[in-house]
Order: sequence, then structure tokens, then C-alpha cells
Amino acid sequence: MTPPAIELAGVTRRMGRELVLRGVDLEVAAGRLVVLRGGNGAGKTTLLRLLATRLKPTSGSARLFGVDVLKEPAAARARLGMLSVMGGSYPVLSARENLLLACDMAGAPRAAVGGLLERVGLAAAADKHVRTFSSGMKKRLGLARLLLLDPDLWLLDEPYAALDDDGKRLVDEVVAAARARGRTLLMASHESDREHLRPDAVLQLHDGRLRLAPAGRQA
Amino acid sequence: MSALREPRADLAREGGPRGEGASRNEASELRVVLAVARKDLLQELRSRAATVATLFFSAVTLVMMGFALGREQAVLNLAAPGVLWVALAFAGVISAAQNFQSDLEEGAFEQLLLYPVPRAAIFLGKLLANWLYLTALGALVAPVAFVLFGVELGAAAWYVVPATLLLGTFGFAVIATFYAGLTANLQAREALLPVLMFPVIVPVMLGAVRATEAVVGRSDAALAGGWLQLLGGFGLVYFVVCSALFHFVVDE
Repeated sequence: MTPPAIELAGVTRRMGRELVLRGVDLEVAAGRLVVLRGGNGAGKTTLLRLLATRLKPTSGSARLFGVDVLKEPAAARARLGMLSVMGGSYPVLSARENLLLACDMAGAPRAAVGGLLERVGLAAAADKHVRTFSSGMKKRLGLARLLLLDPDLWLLDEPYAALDDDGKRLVDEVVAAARARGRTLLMASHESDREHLRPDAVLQLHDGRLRLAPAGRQA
Repeated sequence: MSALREPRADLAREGGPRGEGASRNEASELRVVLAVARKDLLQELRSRAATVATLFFSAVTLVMMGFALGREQAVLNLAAPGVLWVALAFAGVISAAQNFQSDLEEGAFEQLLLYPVPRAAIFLGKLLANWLYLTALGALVAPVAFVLFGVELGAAAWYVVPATLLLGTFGFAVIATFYAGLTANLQAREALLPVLMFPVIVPVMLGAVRATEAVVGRSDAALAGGWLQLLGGFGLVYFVVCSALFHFVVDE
């Protein structure tokens, strides 16, 4: 039997004195798109970073594709990729250099870089330093990195933020294509009602707990 | 055509290695080390603030000490190795702190840590860049120091000084890389980094200064060799310990 892509049981996380996550239980089957909603500071990014092995749960357990995130973080990292709010690129490197670095870090072929830059609309800015980029361009570059890695689990933190309409359509297309390839996607976003998104479930993170969003659709 | 209507038709456009049906390979550790080192060196050279600051700081230290010590050659001979290594040490602290600071911008280092590669490989890459940078700085500053202080180098200096620079900057780079990572997320990192680092690098500083002294105004290759062995030994111990502990520094 295939293990769930995401399995959280009683996960709590304390940040300083505040308990940001209070006993989160979540199970997401492989190949699903789940949107995570919640107000600013609700803990969406904390939950994504916890799944990405960058934070440890204060209590509870987290498994990705059956792999215990606490016991085998490296094995978990081999299955995931994350698009962060800030984009995660080095400002003094060019877009191309950032993607070449990603190729070297992930063991991916360097030949894919040119096509990816074109795909996300950054071909003309490929050799410009990222520090000259707008927030939207940085987001596009982060998306290109995720396309390069094409992990089994995509963690997307506000992927539509700072993007223009074309950029948002690009995210819609990339998400749809990833779903078609059977990837699992967990997206923190305020734009779960986008026409083309059609998530399998919309969850609301409120007061450190997860629940189905009022207008959500359960898989 | 929109991928939303026909998502599978869009797969060929994705460009990603798996999107085109190829499989992603494990990155070799050597490739990771070289990639991180190349990235760090590019950062160092392009963010000119750090390069200018380290060069300026080294030059100012040498000139100020040169004025303070007067013109008596015996005093200058005694002081030159110490002044050289103090200048390199402080410049190294600035460089290491700046390096991690650039990493933390825009979540780039967090992204680097998401790749399924050993933390030791990332440490080695950063160490290699730091070492090369400090060695280049030493190769630039050492001749200036010797000329400025008017010291006469012994016959063995042609290999003792380069060997001391290589081993001394290696030990220093190991500690600087490790502690810069340790303090990167702290608010008072600029103050804490030298406070934490300098007690640990005392053996490296001592070995480097003594090995250099052995060929300033004389040529005692045997004495220099002993100190170089000490430098090599400490560098090796620091290297093994810091490589093994680096994941505690960057992970929770």
C-alpha cells in the first residue's frame, strides 16, 4: 500500500513563547493538491518549513511518503522542493547562475537551464543579477528552480504573491502540469478560489489548528 | 495552448529533467563542494564591500603598526610576523561574517539547505572559498608587510612563508567558517564572532607567527618545520571536528 505523501500527527510547534501549531493532524494522499489558507501569522509558513525539514516539531510526528522527517531528514529532502515567499535566490548571482547552482546541488543536467528560463519568462534577464529583479521576477526564478527539481512533493508558500496576471497564469499552468505528472502539492495561498486551480481540498489554519475551509472541497 | 485544458500536452514545455522523462541523479559530493565554493567566491568578489573592507583593514593595520613601532630594525623584525597575522586574522573575521550575511539574504541559504546533500559538503565548499580568499589576501599582504617593515628574509623563506600562509589560513578558515555559521542568525553576530573565534584560533596564530619568525632576519628551517607541523596538526583536528559538527550549526 502506498504511504500518504504527507502524514502529520499531533504536530505542535513553539516559536519563542508562542505556540504556533497546536496539534495539527493532516493526511494528504500522493498526487493531490491541497491549499492552505489562514491569516497573516496563522502558521502556514511554519507548517511548510516544518515539512521541508527546516523546523522540527515541538511534539508530534511528521512523515513524507512514509519517511520520518525527524529521523531521516535527508531522505525526506530528496522527495521535496519548496518555493519560498522570498524566492530563495542569491542576489549577487544572475538568474542563470542561480539555476546552474541548483543543477549542481541536485545532480540535474545543466542543459535544462536555458529552456527553464524561457519557460518562466526570464530568458531576456537570464544574465542579470537577481538583486536587480522585481519581487515577481524573483518568484518566477524560484518557480524555475522548482521545475528543474520537479520533486514528488511541491511546497508552495504564497506562489501568487507579487506576480502579475501573466505570472499568476504561469503558476496555474505549472501547478496543473505538476498535478498531471502525479506530483503532490501543498500550497499556502490566499487565492484558493482561482478559476483554474481546482484544489482537492482547501484547509484553514486558524489558532494553530487545521480545519476544512468553509467553502472548501474535500478530496 | 493552455496547460489547464490539456495539461499533459504541456509536459514537454516544462524543461525540467524529470518533466522530460529523464531521472534526477544524486549530486556528487565533489560537484556540490565546487558549486558552493564557486558561488561563495563569486559573492565575495561581486559584493565589493567585503573585499574592499578586508584589504583596507589589512593595509591600515600594517601602516598604523609600522608608525607605532618606530624605525629600529630589530623591533620591526620581531613585530612583523605578529602584525601580519593579526591583520590577516581580523580581515578574515570580516570576510567570514560578510559571507554568511550574504547567504542569509532572501532565504537563499535556507534554499541551499533544502537540497538532499550532506551538510559536510556544504561546509567544505564554504571552507574552500574562505581558504582560497584568505590565501590570496595573505599572498597580497605578506610581501607588503615585509617591504613596509624592511625585514630581511632568510634563505628558507621562499618555501616556509608560502607553506605557513597555506596552513595558517587553512586553520583560520576552518574556524571562521564554522563560527560564522554558528553566529549567522544572532543579532550581535559582529561582536560575538571574534569573541568566540579568537580563543580557539590561538594555536593557529601562535604556530603561524612562530613559523614566520623563524625566517625573518634569520633562516631556521628546522624551527619553522616544527611550527608548521603544529599548524598542520591543529588544522586537521579543527577540520575533522568542524565538518562533523556543522549540521548542528545549520539545522535545528
